[in-house]
Amino acid sequence: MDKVNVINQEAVEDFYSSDKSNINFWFAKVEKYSAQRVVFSCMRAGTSKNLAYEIAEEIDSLVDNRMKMSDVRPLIFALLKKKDPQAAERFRASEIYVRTSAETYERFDRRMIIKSMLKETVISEKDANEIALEVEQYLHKTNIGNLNSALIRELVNAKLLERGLESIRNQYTRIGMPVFDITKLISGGDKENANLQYNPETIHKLMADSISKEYTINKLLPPDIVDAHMNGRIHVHDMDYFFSRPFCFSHDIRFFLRNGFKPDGTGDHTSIAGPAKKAEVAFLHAAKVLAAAQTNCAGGQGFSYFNTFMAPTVTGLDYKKVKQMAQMFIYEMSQMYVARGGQTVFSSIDLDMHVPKMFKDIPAVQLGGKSNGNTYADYEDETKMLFNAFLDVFNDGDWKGKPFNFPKMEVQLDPKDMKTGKYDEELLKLSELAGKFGTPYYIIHQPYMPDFSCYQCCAFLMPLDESADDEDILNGTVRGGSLQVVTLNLPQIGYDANGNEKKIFDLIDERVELIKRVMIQRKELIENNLQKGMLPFLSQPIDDKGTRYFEPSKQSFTIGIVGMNELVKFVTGEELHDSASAWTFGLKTMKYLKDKVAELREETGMNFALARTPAESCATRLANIDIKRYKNKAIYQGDRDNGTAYYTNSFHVRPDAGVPLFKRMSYEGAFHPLTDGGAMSHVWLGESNPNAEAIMELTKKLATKTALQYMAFTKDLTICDDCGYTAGGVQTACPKCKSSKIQVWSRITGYYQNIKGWNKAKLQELKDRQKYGQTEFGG
Amino acid sequence: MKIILFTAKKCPKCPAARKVLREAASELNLKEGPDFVEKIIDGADLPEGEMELEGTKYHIVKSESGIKESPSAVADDFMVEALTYQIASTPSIVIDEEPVFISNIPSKEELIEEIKKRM
Repeated sequence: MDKVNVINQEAVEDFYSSDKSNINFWFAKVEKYSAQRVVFSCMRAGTSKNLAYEIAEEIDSLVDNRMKMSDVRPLIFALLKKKDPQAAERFRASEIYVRTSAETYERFDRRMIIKSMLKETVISEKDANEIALEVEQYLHKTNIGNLNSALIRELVNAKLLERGLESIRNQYTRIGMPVFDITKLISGGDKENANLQYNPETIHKLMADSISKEYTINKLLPPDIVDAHMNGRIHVHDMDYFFSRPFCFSHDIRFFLRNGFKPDGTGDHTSIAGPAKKAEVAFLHAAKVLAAAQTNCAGGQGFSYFNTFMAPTVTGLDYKKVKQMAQMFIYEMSQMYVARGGQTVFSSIDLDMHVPKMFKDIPAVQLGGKSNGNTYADYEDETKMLFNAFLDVFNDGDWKGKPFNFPKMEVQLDPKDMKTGKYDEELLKLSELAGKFGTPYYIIHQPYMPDFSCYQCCAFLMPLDESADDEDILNGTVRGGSLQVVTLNLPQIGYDANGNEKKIFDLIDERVELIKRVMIQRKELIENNLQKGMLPFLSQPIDDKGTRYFEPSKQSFTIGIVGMNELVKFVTGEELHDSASAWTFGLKTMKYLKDKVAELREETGMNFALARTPAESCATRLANIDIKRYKNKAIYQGDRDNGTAYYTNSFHVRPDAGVPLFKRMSYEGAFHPLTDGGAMSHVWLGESNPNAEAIMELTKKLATKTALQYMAFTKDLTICDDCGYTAGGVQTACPKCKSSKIQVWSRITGYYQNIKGWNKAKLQELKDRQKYGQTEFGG
Repeated sequence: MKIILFTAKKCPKCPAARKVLREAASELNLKEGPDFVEKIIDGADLPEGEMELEGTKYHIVKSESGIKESPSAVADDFMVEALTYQIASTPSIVIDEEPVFISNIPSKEELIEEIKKRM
């Protein structure tokens, strides 16, 4: 090294100062000296061939072959600086190594920046050249250690913003998560997602959710829609699944009984099963169908007319065996802990008390996939037996006596039967279950409803006559779902319109138009994914004509609402339950929305549907946004200061309104016919052990004297971790063994969940809920 | 005593309900207008004046006070009003604020019985 010093000590130090914290310094340490390498280095820096040889010769006289290139490079730099200063700078730059996304080290090359910018964005060549040069100069000036391509991208992005090229920056940027957040996820410190267990699958899911959500906002949705979402005018649900999969789907088990089952939709990655030949296998196939479909859908997966269609498979079995089948299925659905990053499948089954009229004359699919001339009318006994078996299993609970939260169980009721008492025995059994665990959801077939409809997942009504036709009824392909949900923030419309009725309706038009665009985009996106083969379970053909299992054009596009009560209060000064005029204003607004949604259907040919939103988080998100933006103008429930503020869900009466039960159900019931994609009302039970007969009578009253179409009785449950005892109500210790190791479960919106995972506002709502005791059922 | 019959423009079961109501009313001496009224819930676009409804000549009016003759029907947007009685389908009959027959045609005798109960 002494020899080097002789030449230019200052230049050598200069080189090191910019260099030794750099990866290239260490990288070059392994490279052996050769004169040829010196020539290449010089020429790469842009010297003439002659100069390169001249320098190489000079260096060769100073060093020997045992040296490493890292020892020699300062020398090259020093000589270049003397003979070709520009080349010297280029030499130093070219010696920067970059860790690339392909997990290799590559020599820094400004042209790579230019190339990638031109490839990934619509930037002009001039801007790209200038920015790349600026970044290179910046790298020379600074002493960045461990340079990687992500960092270079950050520098480029900063330059893009400096030039006001924001949209190009959005195209060029990377999406990811702060290191801090990832560390928090990995270390289990992220309490915000307490409804997901802390396990490796969940961590992966949350990381992926974060990236896909940002991708949706950054890349997929147009800026004005993002703005509307961010400002809380609308709430686009499930943004983390926006790019990939549709929301919920209701299946027809007959398709799989007839054709067997390919979990991946193609059989390329999984084994292929033929039609089930034994009852056990049929039930296992059913469980796996929902799990497989969940990989292609973000929301709930369900079976309609489940016990009717499964009835032929249990022919000849005694009750004990049939119950075992039901038990096996329910355990599968509540134990396969593998869906969407380590959760159970969000599943539901619709049960019939008897064979529905429209299937009575339809040939029944048998084990082995064939028909034998029998129709479903021939399986009335089996249908009832399975109904009872499912109810008994739900009533037993799991091994510890805990209720099953999945699959959700829905039962179809006909008000006419309520009047005649035709199915009182079944209804009483259901009422027992409702009083014990709150399990059943009631689909009430009101006279105003289409004959053919089913509910599922977060309580969306599928008007099946729009998604399925006679052929589907016959062929076993009755299916459908909601492809996307977007919620309209009603109170904000009131604030923006300053309570002016005409302006309110104008703003509804304007914002529904935004929602329409989201839906059209989503439909096209999913269609594209189906064509690309990204959703193989959904795109599997169901016939020789190439009809797909899932057709976007047959799905519902759900427009939800939140905060009708607060809108009404803002405009009229009274809440829904305060006066007839307030209630009527709410109904009028809802009717306007219904007509508007009908117009959209006409205009687009898409099945737009007005619904209540399962506003688990958007009820509080939207309220909080509005509190910030509208200050004291905002009307909300809960407390703005401790993060518990929320809007009353959909058209519900305020949870703590203090109104008699029947009144509450009537106020809400009037709104049910104005939805066309689902409504739900809740009866919150006050007693720990309400009487089954009383629940039955109440069910009958609500089914025949209100317009409710979908409801459930919710009983809060305290489950002891120690002795397994399940008690009614929110308790602080187990009433049986006094243990304080307890879980409290309640219905969050459309399903039961441990309240440990609830957000603050939902916990506030749980406190606010007006619970009704038996003596109040008649009120 | 106030009886409301909610009907609709396209409603296959409504003509029978219209008939039953007016038969019962005449038997009980109830007057169209003050005692009972038919409301066409989706009739906002129907013009005032005479028109034929399922083979019978009707007087279409825009408000209850406009009822001068029988049979008459008030035609307007009554959806919201019907909903406040939990009614979303036709024909439905409300007697003294209480929905008694929803989407269901009673026999003359049944209707008379229900009316008498409330007299």
